[in-house]
This record gives sequence, structure tokens and C-alpha cells, in this order.
Amino acid sequence: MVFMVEVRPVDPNVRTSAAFFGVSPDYFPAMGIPIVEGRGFTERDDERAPGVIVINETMAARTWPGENPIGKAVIVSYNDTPPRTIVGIVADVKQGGLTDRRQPQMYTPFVQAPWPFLATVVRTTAAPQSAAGSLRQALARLDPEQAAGEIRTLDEYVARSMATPRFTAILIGAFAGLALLLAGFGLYGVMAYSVAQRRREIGIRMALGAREADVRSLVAGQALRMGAAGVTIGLVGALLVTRILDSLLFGVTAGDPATFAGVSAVLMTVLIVAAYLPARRATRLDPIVALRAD
Amino acid sequence: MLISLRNVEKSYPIGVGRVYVLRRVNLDIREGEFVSIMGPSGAGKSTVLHILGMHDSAWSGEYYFMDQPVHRLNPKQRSELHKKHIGFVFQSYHLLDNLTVYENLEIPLSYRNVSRKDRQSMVADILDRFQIVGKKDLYPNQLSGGQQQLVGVARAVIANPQVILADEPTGNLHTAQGKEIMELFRSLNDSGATIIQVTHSEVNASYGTRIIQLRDGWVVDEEAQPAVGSRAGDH
Repeated sequence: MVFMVEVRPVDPNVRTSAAFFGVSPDYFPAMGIPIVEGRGFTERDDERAPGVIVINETMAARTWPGENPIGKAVIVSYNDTPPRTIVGIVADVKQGGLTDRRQPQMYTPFVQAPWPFLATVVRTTAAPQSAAGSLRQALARLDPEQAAGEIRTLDEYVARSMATPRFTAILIGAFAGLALLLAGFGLYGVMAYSVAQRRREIGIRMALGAREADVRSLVAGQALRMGAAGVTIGLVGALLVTRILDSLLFGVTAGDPATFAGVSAVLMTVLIVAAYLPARRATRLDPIVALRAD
Repeated sequence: MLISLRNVEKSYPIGVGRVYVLRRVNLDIREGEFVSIMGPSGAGKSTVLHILGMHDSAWSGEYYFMDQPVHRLNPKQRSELHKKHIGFVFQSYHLLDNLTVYENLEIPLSYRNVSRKDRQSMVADILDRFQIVGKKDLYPNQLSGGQQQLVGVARAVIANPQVILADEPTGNLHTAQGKEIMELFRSLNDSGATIIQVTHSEVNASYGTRIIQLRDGWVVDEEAQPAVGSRAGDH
């Protein structure tokens, strides 16, 4: 919905818009949307009362940066209604799904901006599904002609909005797990091959005084150097391509340091596990056999 | 006595029986001796040497090294004893190809809790003593066989061991290079090191003070060499 800030000159090149919702006074507490500043709506904000509006934090920050918007007025391009005074600021809400970006949102009392479609939000103390029957009865008492559409819990709506991204995430996760497993086997193979190739060297070192711990650290050191190089190259590659995944990420950025650190730690753990057996095998090498095989 | 072997035997199972590599070997070696172990191929010479060097622990019998019962020591204790007192020279030099001469010489010290500073000083000393300072940054494949064995001997003595074990140290060298290495052994022996070498060469054996003959795993003969003044190279 397009809006204009009253008393502020209109820039014809800038189109200010925000999502616009007509809600009842109990909407915010029912939905658990915190009021950050000012107030929500009351029964007194009826169709005869002066127009009021509640905006979200994003709209407040974008339209009145560094200012307090409470008390200011906006003109919403809805039925040529008069300016509405901002009475409160609420937290941002993802209305459509978890992929929603932060966007300006405006709420006005439903009675001041009636709309032909209505959704009812009910907060229950009992199990939500068991309340469906009584909800239908209450609605029928209000308007017997009105059919209640689907009655679902908020969790179900969230789950439905998440279905596609969740499936995608599971798919990507499964492939990533498979890749990790293959990488683990690959690393094991490389380390086992490397130890086999270094039999002579290990035999000589043992003949010159290397103990099991020395041999273990020799093999582990090589694995860690390889791993560090691999992880570094992988991180650079990941930083370049994770932008592709941007649309599938909620609550984290594509370059999230914690995620990168976690994945690096997982890969290094896989590396250590993959290097463990070859390292142990190397410590059991008989130097005589290794030297004679030369 | 520096080294004593008592009824040392080594064998491998083959089918239902066993094949013996060493049979009831008894051996005494005093400090300062230069002993040559000789015998035909398969006689067990290298096996004795690796037992003495504590690389091989799969044998039976008794082995006393500086009065310590090696046969009763665990692998860690044997390794410590080896590191403290024994240097080993291999026939095939066994230098590490991807390390420079300097780094090859540093390896035994790195396993002996020698500080980095002391290691640098000890490697510098040995390079100087063996006159291979100019080769310190070269890799083994850039050296001749004689030079590689020189590095091999330098590596064996860098930690100042009392005993040097050498497994056919001139086996892969030209006569002149072999002579140079044997002269080096003799000078090490003259400065107090006990040397035990395995050799097929009568000439090399003549550098020593005693020859032990092995055949089919048995010690068949022991003979003292002529007095030091008439040993090889003194003619």
C-alpha cells in the first residue's frame, strides 16, 4: 500500500509503500507481536475515532531515521481516508513465510479500514485443534452465512511455508553428507597411500630413533597440513559460491562466520578420523621390513 | 663387557616347522673393539646386527648391553637405550631423499630431545669434521655414493654414540670410496668408538680387531686380527 508522510514534501521519484493490515485490538497480543514503543489498538479506536496506525520497526527506521515517529501522521492511499496518526511501533513480522525480507508494515484498526476478507487468530490454552469445533460454532453465531475456511495452527502455516525450503535443505544436506562421507573415504585412501609410499622413510626414522608418537605426529602433521590447505581452498570456494544459496538461508547470512568455522571443524574432525588408522598402522611398521623392502 | 649375547635364536614359522635364522649365538664384545661379522649371504649377519641395534625384537635368548638386560626391556626402553648409545650405518645409506644433507643429519638429534640451538651447533660440528660443509644444502640424489655414505656415517655418529653398527657400509661403493669410509671407521675406533660391521670384504674386515664368522645362523669361528699397528691402511 502506498503511503505518504504528512507535512513532508513528496518526492515524485520515490514511491513509499508498506504492507498494510487491518487488525482488531487483540491482534498483537494474540499473535505475540511485541509492542516496542507507544501503544496497540483499543476498542476506542473505532470507525468514529480519529484514524490511527501502528507501524513496524523497519518502517520506523526507514521513514523516520533518528526520529521518533509516534505522533506523526501518514496518508495511506486507501479510500481517500484522512491522515492517520502513528500511535505505536511493533516488532517486524514475516507475514508470508520465513523467506520474507524485512519490509515496512502498517497496521490499522480493522473497523477503520474494512476489507472483504478476514482471517481470525485465536490463542487457546487447550490443544489448538480441539478448539476448531467451538470456533466454527462461534463464527456461525456471528454470521450463519459465513463459512469458516481452513482452521490451522500457526505452526502448521509456518510448516507449510517451510515445506519447499525444508525439502531443498534436506536434499542439499543429504548430498552434503554423502560428499562428506566420500571425502572421508577419499582422505583415508590418500593417507593410507601416503603412509604406504612413506614406508621406507618411516622405517628409516624409526631406525634412527623415532618413537610411535613421533611417527604418529609425522603422519598426523601431514594430514593436518593437507587438511588446512584443503579447508582454506574450500572456504574461499564456498565464499564465492554460497551466494547461490542465499535464497535458501533463513536467519544466517551466506558468509556466516560461525557456520564456516563449524564446517571447518567438522571437516578437520573427519580428516583426523580418516588419518587415524593409517597413522596407527604406520606406528606398527617393522623398521627391518621397511628397510629391507627398499 | 659392552655387549653379550647368550643363546640368541631367531626363527620363522614355515608350514608346520620353523626355519632358523640364528642358532644359539653367543657373543661378547668389549668396549673399543672393532669387530667384523662375516659369512655367506643368508648366514644371519644383518640379523645379528639389527638385534644388536635393537631394531629387531623378535628373538629369544639373552642380550646384555652395558650390563642392561635388553631381552627384558620394553620397546620404549630399548629405543631409549638405542638412541643413547648406538649409531647405525646402512648399506644403502638410507638418507631421506626429500631432505637436504643438513636436515638428514638433524634427524637423529630431533628424536633425542636436543634443543634446536644445540642441534644447529652439533650439525655444524659434524659437517666440519667430515668436511662436507659445502654439501649441506644438497639433496642425496645430488651426491655420489661415497658422499652419501659419508653423510650416512656422519648421521650415525652425530649423537656421539659409544657403539657404531655398520651393515655392509661399503657394499655399494667403489673401492676408493670404500677405503675412505673404512679409514673413517678406523679413526672413529681410534677415538674410542666400538665398531661392529657386517662385511663380505676381507679387506674391510682387516681394518678391525676381530672377525666373527657366521654360517647358517651359527657362529662357526672367531679370530683376532693382527695388532693395530699392522691393520689395513698402516702398511
